[in-house]
Amino acid sequence: MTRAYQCANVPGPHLGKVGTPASVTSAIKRAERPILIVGSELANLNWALTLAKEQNIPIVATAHVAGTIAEMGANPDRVLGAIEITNLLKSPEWSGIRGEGQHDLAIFVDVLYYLEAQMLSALKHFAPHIKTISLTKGHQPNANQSLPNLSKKKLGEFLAEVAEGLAK
Amino acid sequence: MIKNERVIIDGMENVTINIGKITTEEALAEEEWEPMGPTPKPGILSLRNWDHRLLKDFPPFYAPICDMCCLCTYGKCDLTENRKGACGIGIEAQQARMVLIACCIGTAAHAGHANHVLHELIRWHGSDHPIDLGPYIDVEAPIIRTVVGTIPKTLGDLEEILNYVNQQLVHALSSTHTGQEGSFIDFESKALHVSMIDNLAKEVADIAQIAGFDFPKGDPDAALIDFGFGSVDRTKPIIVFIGHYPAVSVATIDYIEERGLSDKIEVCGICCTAIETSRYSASAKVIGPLSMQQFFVRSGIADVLVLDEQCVRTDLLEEAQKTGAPLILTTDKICYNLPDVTSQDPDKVVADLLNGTPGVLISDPHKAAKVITETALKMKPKRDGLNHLPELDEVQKLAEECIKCGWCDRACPNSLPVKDAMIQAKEGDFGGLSNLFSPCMSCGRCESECKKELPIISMILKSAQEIAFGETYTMRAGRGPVLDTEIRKVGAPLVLGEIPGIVALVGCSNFPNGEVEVAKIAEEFARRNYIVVATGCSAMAMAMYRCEDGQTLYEKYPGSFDAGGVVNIGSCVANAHIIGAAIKVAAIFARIPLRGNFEEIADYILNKVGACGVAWGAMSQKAASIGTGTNRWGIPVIVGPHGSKYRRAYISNKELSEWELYDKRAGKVVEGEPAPEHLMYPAETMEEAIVLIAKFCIRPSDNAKGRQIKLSNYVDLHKKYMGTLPPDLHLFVRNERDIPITMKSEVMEYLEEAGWEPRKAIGDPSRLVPEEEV
Ligand code: SF4
Ligand code: SF4
Ligand code: SF4
Repeated sequence: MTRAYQCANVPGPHLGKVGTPASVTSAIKRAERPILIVGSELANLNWALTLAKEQNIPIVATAHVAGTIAEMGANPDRVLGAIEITNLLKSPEWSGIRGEGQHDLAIFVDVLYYLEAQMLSALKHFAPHIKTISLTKGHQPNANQSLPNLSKKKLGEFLAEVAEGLAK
Repeated sequence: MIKNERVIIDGMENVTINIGKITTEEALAEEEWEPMGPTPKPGILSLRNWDHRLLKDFPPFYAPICDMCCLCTYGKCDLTENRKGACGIGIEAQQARMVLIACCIGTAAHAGHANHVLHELIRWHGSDHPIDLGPYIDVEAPIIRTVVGTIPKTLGDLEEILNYVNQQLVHALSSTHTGQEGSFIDFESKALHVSMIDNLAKEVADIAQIAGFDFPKGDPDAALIDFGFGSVDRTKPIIVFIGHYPAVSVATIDYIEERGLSDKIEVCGICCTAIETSRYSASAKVIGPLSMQQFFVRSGIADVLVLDEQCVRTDLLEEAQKTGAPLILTTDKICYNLPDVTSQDPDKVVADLLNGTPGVLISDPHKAAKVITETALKMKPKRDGLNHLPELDEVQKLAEECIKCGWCDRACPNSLPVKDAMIQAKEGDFGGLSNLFSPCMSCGRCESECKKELPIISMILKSAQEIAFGETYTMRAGRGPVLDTEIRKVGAPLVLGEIPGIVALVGCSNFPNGEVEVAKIAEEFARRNYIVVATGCSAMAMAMYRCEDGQTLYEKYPGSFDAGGVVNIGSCVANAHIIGAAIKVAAIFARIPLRGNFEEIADYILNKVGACGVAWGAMSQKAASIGTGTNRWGIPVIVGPHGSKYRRAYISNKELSEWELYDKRAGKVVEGEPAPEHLMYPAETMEEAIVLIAKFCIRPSDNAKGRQIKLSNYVDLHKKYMGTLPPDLHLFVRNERDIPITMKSEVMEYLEEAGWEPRKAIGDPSRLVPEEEV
């Protein structure tokens, strides 16, 4: 059994799936209004920015990631704290980043692992209308699906496969 | 029953009739100092409306850290997907219940401290010992005045207040029993209540300490204390106190001085006992915050380790034994299955310790002082020459055993790269291990996980020995309460915004990236003329840093409660004085009566005093009650990312919330603003926290000049760390006069794009709508 990356982070009897590139790709394809939430670990920011652009997915930058994105000559759709965007995602009446309706899929990339675990828990319990994927390093059992525990290199390959799958 | 000149009627223990006192001048003065407000000694229900009003604007946000409950034998109960426990509780109420339990534990720790220190001091000085906070403090005990409605004059007067504290704690904790409260909002109200009681207990504790130990009475020029491993003279016998309760360290310093041994022994401290000890004697050394505990014990420098209470590692007996240092326990909170030798002949106890008894419990501070000192003197020669850390070639050999499994990284709360550091050390490069010294909090979880049983903490410390042992910093001794004279000077500019805010760095050292971030936050705001105050581990963490010019923050910035000051208020219990300072702004500047008048005071602080608490390393249950109590007084708190594991924040939803305030001057409900925006907020990074601190200091009462100053800081910091103007700037600009002059054109351009409309500033903002208008 795949254990949480921070190994004591066991939430309870119901654990999320360990994703594969194919399952992640298909969940993103199926979603009508996905949202990308990029956090302070910055490990795969480039990948996330490219994905957002190519797939036309709105991107929220948490912490002070907007500063780094600005240095790269880009802008996120919104700047919000991890807890602020999670709070908005919890509200069924929120109309989403682009005013097109509440999102149905939240993809977390590089939010600080244990803070992200808590945000995923909040969504798991209080946002039944939304599915979650974590592509942050290390398995997150509070997400509907998340990565297995991979080396940096293998993680890069996983994400590249997802990008390829989505481009098809 | 007649007790202390009071008749207490059976079944009416709360009602007391004073005999022989009522006509004394003192009693009359007591009657007259202020009319009694509506809520003296509030019970759980008394301030419930205030809590519900707060929670309307700042609803609880829950992030369960465990999906189950296992508090009774019906359980474990699975609370996912709207399932209820066998008792009927749902996941939200269960989270709130756990938060309340944490706040009760925190309050109990402070109240335990208060009870303990007060009774010890009454034993030393008698219950008539006066409380005198010096010539510059007339409004002493602002929390006691506001909550309880009395002015304590003697140590004995504090006992009655603790009776009230203990009673409220029992009621709050009892509501967490299976099958009591079922509403998350009311669990939160109880958490807010018991945490206000925590603040009260801390004020009792610190006032007793100031009176009984003669600690500084708000001295802005309190002594600069030598700080850090490097400050310790290792040629002398070394005694280290760890914990929070200062009676034993004070008694030990007295014992040492009485015997003329002051320059022959080093007295050091870790955690709050260190701050307290330095409030008593400027020659005591401060080793550092909690995060340094295990590092220091491993270094083996201590000849005697003395533990008192709160936030002490629970395995220090085992750790002390590894270094050959005897362990002396001094309170009933920590007993470690060691023999209680309080009634034994101290000389025999010393002899036993020298002959290898690993540790003892001595609950009398004066007896403990003798044993501690005599043992240290005789232990030193026995321990000389012992080496407690591996040599570097041994570190390399140990690293060679590493099997690169990576479980250390995964066990580490901060996911630090221990494995990679081991791989480097194998090759004789200790840079990786040395780099871990600053972010590592010496918790030891990596060691516990390591199948090869590598002493990772010792390896990190050895690799970083030049950084660890080479530096001596300075910390200003905890000064205690803020002076009335200081409040008179800063009251108006604070309420009008011309001093942009009070930034209070408090709480433990469970930092996401080491101590340095707290210092950087302090420096950023001191430079910007905020009033920076600090307590506890955060006050110590701030000392471990040098500004660009080589000075420590305490050397560079004045210790006065004024714009640009960096003020060490004291230990955890001295936190009460930070809330006290906000209360005194209401009392001294706005002349609002305090007596039994909690709601009006908290409403004033929430709407008019730009203060923001920052518990960047919040870890303990005490930090939970400190923060939650601070919230009830109307002060927002930012916690570090680990704070998300408290499982509850108080977060507004500015896109969906209506910000309604009552304008007392206009006599009507008006459109307000998200100032402050959130009440309890876990930030992900230091940079995010810095931007938010500036924002959370904005208040509806700011005048145009004050708002300009606050916005120029907010805009400037947002640009610095986020690269752009703040996306919510339009919410904080009421009219053009609020816009900082130097930023006018870019801000106007932004406001036009955002479709901003000017609005009126609120004359006298409040969240309390008079009953007749509801
Ligand atoms: S207290 Fe309630 S939820 Fe918890 S174990 Fe007992 S029945 Fe279950
Ligand atoms: S001791 Fe340091 S490296 Fe080890 S788990 Fe704790 S913080 Fe991480
Ligand atoms: S847990 Fe121990 S053996 Fe495994 S990588 Fe870490 S130090 Fe090496």
